[in-house]
Amino acid sequence: MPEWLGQIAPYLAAPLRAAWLAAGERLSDLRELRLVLGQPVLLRLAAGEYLLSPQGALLEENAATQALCFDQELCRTTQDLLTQGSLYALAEELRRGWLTLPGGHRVGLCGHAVLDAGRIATQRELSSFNIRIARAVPGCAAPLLPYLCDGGRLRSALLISPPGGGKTTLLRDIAVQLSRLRYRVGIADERGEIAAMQQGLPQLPLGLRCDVLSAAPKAEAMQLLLRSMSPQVLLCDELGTPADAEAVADAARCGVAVVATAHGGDVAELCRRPVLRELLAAQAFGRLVLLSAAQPGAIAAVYDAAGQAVSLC
Amino acid sequence: MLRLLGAALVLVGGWGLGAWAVARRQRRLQLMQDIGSALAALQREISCRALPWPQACRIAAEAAGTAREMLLCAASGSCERAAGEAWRSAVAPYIPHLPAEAVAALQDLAAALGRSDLAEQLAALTAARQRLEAARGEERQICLQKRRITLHLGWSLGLLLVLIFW
Repeated sequence: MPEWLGQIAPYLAAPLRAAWLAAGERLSDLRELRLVLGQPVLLRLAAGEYLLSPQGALLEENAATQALCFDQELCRTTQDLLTQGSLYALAEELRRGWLTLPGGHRVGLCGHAVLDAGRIATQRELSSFNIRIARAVPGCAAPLLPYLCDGGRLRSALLISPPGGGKTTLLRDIAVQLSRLRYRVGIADERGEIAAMQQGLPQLPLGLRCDVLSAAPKAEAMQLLLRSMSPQVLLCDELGTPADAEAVADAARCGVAVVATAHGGDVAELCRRPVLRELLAAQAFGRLVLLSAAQPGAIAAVYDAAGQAVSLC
Repeated sequence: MLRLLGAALVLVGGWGLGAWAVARRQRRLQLMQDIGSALAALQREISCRALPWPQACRIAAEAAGTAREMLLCAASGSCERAAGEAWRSAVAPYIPHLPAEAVAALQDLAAALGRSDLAEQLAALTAARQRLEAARGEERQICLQKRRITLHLGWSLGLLLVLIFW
């Protein structure tokens, strides 16, 4: 049985936990568990989407009546377990809309937003939970390394894919591989998904030369890592704000490579986002790595800073 | 001689019964005081450090005296089921040792657990503490009033038995 199955089970209400554990090996390529109040429990596997029955069987969508329904009681208990009965202690998590479980599994939270001065202050009456499974895929970054360590020089890279495309898994393995190649790696792990730190220890394997600053905003974390840990490469997930762009530029000025990720279907899509457009125009990344939409984590194409496809000789 | 010895034993037994009843009330008072202290500690840990409920319970348990098990049980239980449900289970073994108002205060607290924001959680703890304190005040009054009576009733009962069977 996959290890993550047991890591997530204690956070599910009893009937859901029983179905989850009964499904066991059938969930081995699970990507997401989606729980929506009043709806059947939905599993997103690599092979497609299925509903979960109370006995742990995987059902097609047309068998929704036989599926386990995420009713009010399951929703309340699951919320209690996910928050450890401490909704009051999770104000920040509720505001930003996600929390991280031990093992690095991210739980997206959605309910009724409470606004303060027009901005989301917190959420109440949570009704949707999206549990994304974090798993290490050792060696998945190996095909990418020749593009990053080109001629002995480490290049900055931006990994591009739509959500669920395997960017974070690839990023984690890049950290492992670069650390093995004796590069000092600084990881700005704002969402706790790359290293999944628990009491100072990464829950997912990282290399010997990796320093992790978790839970801090990416830009601030990158600057702190630059100042304090003398990294040769900085890793972070999901660039998006002007401050992130400034931190990437700062790192480049210090001669430190940055490997980051961004949501997007292709390079043209990224160019429609002002922050990323500026970064691309400034040729901040020596490599733009497009991941395959069909096969998460697989490399579809690699471009250089000018947007020309790169192929290895 | 044997009769005298038996009479003395019955008298001492009666007095002991009264003393036991008084001690029982004292223990009940002590338990209520310990639960009150534990709730205060919980409130402190939550308001100052925003600790998650199980962790706050474990810390509060250290200063909870006779209510220690209740807090530890609530802490471990809320990792397996809803916090309110775990709290009710933790309180259950103490119900026979507490007055009805104190039991109601503790059980009502369960409704607020797990689903409240910081302000509501603290308000629920404050309300539970106040109700518990009020119940303890009443219990203390009853204890003071009945202490002497209970003791006297104890040895009087012994004396009565001696006189009847002499």
